[in-house]
Amino acid sequence: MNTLAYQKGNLQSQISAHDKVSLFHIAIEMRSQNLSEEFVANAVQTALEFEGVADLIIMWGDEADPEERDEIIADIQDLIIDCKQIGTSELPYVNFNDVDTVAKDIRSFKDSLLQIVAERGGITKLAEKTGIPQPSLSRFFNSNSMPHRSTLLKIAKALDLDAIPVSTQWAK
Amino acid sequence: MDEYWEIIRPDVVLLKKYPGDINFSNGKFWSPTIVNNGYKMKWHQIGNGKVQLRLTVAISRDAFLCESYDKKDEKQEKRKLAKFKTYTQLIRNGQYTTRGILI
Repeated sequence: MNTLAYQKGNLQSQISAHDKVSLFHIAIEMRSQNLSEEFVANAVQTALEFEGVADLIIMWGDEADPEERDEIIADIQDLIIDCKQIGTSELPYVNFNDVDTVAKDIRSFKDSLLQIVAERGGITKLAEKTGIPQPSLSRFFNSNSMPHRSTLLKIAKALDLDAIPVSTQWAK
Repeated sequence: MDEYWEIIRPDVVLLKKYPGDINFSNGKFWSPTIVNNGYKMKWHQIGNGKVQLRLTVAISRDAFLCESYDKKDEKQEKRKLAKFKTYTQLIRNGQYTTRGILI
């Protein structure tokens, strides 16, 4: 198993040249598995700054199970977006009693969006157009979790939608 | 529903007393540090599905509730740990979004 040795900075992790090369080797393997250039480049760039993302890339390199690899890819994509945030922000509080209603709203929204995706070539084609890995899009459509606004915008652009067709009030 | 109000929420509100409450010395309730300033709150056999519920908590000046999940296997745990490690770094960097304050 590969391991990474980090020298902790004040706020960021700095990895050794050897460990960087390990990440680059895995990145090449990711490209050979048809993950987009945009995703792989963003993954490596984020990993150079965030130790947890580097850990996930190493896990992917060590993993043989395709389903587990897909889960790791979806996690990396989530973190790439999280790590791009600048500063702090606040979103509306969701009362526990409203969680089921919110989840149903999100489910309904994602189902309607998935219908459009299916009419325009399916998730595989959407992955090609957006550069978002297919496992990440599958997780997006299969879960009731709140979507990232940046993901919605990429999907809308790829589908030539002028605006997301339903409310995106719960987008992160 | 009842378990949220009667068990989970009261347990989480204990964070207001952190580290003073005796529960934070109980390994079945509160993990030792798993990443830098990061801990896990645990519930065993909870909910209709009798799941192993976990809540990752970053302790900075405040307590940040990061992610809850149903523990399934060691591979999932490793992935969640890597995500949590990233969240704690983001919190230290001041790059995060909050969704309310628990009172």
